Amino acid sequence: MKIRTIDHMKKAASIIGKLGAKAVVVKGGHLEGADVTDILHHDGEFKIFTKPRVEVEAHGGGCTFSAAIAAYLALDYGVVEAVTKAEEFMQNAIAFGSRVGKGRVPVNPTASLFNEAEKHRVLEDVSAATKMIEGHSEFLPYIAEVGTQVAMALPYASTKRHVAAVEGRIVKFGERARAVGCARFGASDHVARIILTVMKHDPLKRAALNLRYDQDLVEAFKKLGRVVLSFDRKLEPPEVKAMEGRTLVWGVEEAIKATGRVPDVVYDLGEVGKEPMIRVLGNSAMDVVEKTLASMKPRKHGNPH
Amino acid sequence: MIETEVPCAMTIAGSDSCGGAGIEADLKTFAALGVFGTCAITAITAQNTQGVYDILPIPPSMVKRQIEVVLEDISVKAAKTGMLYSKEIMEAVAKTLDRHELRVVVDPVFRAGTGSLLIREEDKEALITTVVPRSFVITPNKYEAEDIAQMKIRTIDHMKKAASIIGKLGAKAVVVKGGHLEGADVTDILHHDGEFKIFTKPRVEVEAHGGGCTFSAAIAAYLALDYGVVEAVTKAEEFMQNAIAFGSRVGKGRVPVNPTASLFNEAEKHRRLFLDPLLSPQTNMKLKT
Repeated sequence: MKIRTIDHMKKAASIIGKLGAKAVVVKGGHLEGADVTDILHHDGEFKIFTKPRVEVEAHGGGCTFSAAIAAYLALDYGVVEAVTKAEEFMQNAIAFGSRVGKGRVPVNPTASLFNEAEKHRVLEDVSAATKMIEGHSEFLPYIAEVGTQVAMALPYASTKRHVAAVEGRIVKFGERARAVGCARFGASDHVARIILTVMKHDPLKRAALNLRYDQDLVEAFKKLGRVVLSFDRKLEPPEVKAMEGRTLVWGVEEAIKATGRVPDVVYDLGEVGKEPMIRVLGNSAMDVVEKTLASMKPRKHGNPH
Repeated sequence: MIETEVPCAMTIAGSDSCGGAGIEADLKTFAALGVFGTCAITAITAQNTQGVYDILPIPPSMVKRQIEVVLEDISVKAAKTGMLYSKEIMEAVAKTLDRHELRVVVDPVFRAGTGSLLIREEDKEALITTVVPRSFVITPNKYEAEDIAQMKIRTIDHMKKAASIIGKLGAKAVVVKGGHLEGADVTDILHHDGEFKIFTKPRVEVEAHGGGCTFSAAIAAYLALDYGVVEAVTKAEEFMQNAIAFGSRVGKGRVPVNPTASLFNEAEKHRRLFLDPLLSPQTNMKLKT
């Protein structure tokens, strides 16, 4: 039979089941649409998996998916659970494929495992960077009114849950900067969004820090040869403004598009109700803090502890 | 916009159907170290942890094709060779590699850990004349070093002497592995640039399977990650400790080494510190039912 719709997929699954297969997964990647739907037919029931389409010509996707199902079966999961977990496993494997050749992109079966393996290191890095900000009084004048955030993403990051940051941000507390909480994954919205946007252009730039805008500081970054970009919130199209949390993504994308460069520093002068802000980007949270310190006026190294 | 590069390595070796050695071990090792692995299969073995039961060599022209089409497309930064089986395959590999400037880690495989011969007896000499001189790093064990250097090895001084001799045959760096010498410790010797580096580590009491494959693959992976020879060998030595100590007891014979042991340790660190009761422990072990 020909398959053009999800109903066709279900029908095909039933037919293949009648041919003797105990469970059938018909994969819908080759059907058109913004989402991809896979159908599992097992024990007379259907289970439907719908996921956003990843725009990549993958190599090895089918092999990896069936191997993942076999692996979960070997780990004693039942059929439905094994297929469900294999479907989840594939999302990162496809989204973070290895661009190694001139043709299709081999899927990356280790993406999720390397994310897990990096979590501990990323948290330690954000914690160390936070201590540096608390311990160096140079930072104090630049702590933003809304709080300063320092954050770092996992190597294969697609959501804010993949970005570690300081819970409650770093705030001015009397004459020193203090972190409100500990480093935790998912603790940042704004800075996380900036990192995820920049990583699309440079996957190694996984960390960022936001600071109160200061013209001299911007000049100091430029003097050290940093790539300093900016965007103007007034130019943001109303349809973007209407969407919650899109401004920073838009602003950073605009700055990159306009210059063709990936920033070390990106700033904006704010607008009514929006504090002017500098964001410093780098390969790790410590890298960002050190880059920033290198451009700040030296002050006595007050240690609050 | 920023061009990033995925480090790639290649293994030219035999397939081990039990998954513990050969191509299978090499690809797991590359993956565990964050290196994209490619491969050219030289022979298919019907093998388990107890022995090698059958060998089907791949025609040399097909071995050559595998290497060529990969190198045309993918920027491979380091390679390793394992089981090369016959003079014809060795020559095909040597010729193909000569046309590409590829750093090759040579594991001069004569026998499987279980004792079975993985090279045609009459072709041992060809390994010495065609493959040894092309090695960027060569990693013989005691027996292989004895065969290549044409001497008996009983002491660390003998190992050093053999390493020098193999270096003179053309290998840029030589690691003589001392696991088959007796003693509470195991000593490996690296000979490179006229200097020796000695690695001494406590012996792990296990009859490992795939140790030589995994070690040479780890060196190739670290070379692909841009480490220098001495650093790459040092890191591969460290990598092997966990891989051997936490081997996978899956069969009735030898114990396949576990190239993912260290990576799973890393992956568990965060989970243990931020204990989520919904997450089950992730290991590649489970209780027997």
